[in-house]
Amino acid sequence: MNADGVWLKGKWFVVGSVILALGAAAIARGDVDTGINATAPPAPPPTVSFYETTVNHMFLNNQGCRTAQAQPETSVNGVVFLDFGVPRWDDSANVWGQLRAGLPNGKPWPIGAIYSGLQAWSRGYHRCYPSASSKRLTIAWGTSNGFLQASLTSDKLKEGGATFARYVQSYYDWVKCGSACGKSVYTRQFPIAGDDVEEAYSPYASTVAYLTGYDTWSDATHAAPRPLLDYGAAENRSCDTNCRGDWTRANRLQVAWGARHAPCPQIYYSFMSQYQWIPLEQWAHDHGGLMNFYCVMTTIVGYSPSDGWRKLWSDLHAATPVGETDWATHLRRRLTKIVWAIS
Amino acid sequence: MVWRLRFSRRRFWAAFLVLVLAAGAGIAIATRPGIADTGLVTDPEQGILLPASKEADIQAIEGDPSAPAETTSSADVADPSDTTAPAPVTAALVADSDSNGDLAAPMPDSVLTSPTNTYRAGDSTTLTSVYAGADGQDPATGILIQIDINYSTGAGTTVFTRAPSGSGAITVSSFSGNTLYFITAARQTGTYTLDTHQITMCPIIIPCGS
Repeated sequence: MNADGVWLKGKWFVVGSVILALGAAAIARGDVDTGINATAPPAPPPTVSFYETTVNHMFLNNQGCRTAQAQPETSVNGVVFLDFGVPRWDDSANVWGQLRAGLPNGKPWPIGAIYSGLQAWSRGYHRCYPSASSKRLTIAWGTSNGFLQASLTSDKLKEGGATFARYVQSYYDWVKCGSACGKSVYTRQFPIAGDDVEEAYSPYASTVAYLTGYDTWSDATHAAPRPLLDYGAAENRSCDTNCRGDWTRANRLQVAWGARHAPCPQIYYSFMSQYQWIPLEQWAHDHGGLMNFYCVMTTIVGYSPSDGWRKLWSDLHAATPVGETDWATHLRRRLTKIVWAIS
Repeated sequence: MVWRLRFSRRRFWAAFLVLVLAAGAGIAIATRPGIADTGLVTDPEQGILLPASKEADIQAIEGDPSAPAETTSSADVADPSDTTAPAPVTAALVADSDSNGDLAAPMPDSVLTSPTNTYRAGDSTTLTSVYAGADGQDPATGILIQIDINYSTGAGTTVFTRAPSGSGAITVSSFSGNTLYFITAARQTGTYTLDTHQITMCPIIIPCGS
């Protein structure tokens, strides 16, 4: 459902193809509810998120500028995900980085290069922030659990997560730093972390190792890492007895709503709401309390942004047990569409 | 005797410490606005109850809505790193692979499947990449996905162009100027024009391309 790793050959190609074929067949048979409740409120205006294809400063600076110009004026903040690919340990360079496969030459971008690219992005957003505007933006530095390196130990993956946490915090601190950093304080930008987590991508064990490294990171001046938005899929569906790999619903819920995490689910197709996130919300309801959906993500295929948000609203509304507060109130009015290199 | 006296003092101070901590916790809970006995708080935007810890995290994601607007100052004027022009990319066909050695393209399987190779060319202003393979929604149909990015504006476009159904995955075999020559898994040849994003299939008896 996402750029990271799914293009790989072999068994994952087969798994992805089977999932897509089953989804398409189910839709074609008409046994998937594609309906949106007519009483669903209008969706909020979407922002545009990016699968980044370069860390070039000029490009990212201008992309940030265009985001500031295009971001809708709303009474609430917007959220964008800047996805630089999967975490990768680069043995040859002895650094952590992120990999956008195919660009460039299969080598991961060093995390420091991404960090400085994000600085350029934020400078661009600031440069083009409209006068008299009051909008603000949550900027999620995106990664994913797409095919975490099987050769790495749990401790090494934890180190990767901790490194990511440190850099995300550094990005936030830099945004909030003023003259000491040779710039203004970027008052309306709020960097956090994002992680596109999907059960089909990597085992729970390696996924949670990386996230444990993230969640437990601290240093002398920060007691905890920045919050993290999980913008993935929840493919396990009704998996109490037939879960994918070592994932359970409890695992998926923990990743989406544990620690300092909150979900921003991919709602590209009907089944991703109806058979993925709704069952997980029902499970959450029965095991400690409902999740709060921070936003909805759509993309270039499937639902329009408006329909994606209204579909999740409709399904939450329909799933509400009699006598309980409408579950749709747990969906916030945040919406983004993720694209490749289009601004 | 001395030992018993010390022991009593220890117990006294331990009990005192416990009382102080309990009182402090009670005061903290009682004075924190909106916290119910259950540890839930009312979210100001949604009017629903959330665990206090999660509400704090949500508010951290939100950022400070009362922060002043962003205004550019003299400190923001010079930033040479933002204007670094990228190095030109010589036109070439590449077949990148990721660190696992698998052929790769920056697309999900639902968009591009069976990626074969990529045409790439660029100057200091623009970069054009054309990813070849099969349509993720119909693997029996070849597809070319052209991404143009403009460094000077931060803009980009993505254009999807499909070969006739049944062609199978496309492989770009050569290029000349703005024309790419390709061959499909079904052994048909054709051309693709970068400017117009048009695919033209060539007759089987007169294959095109060098």
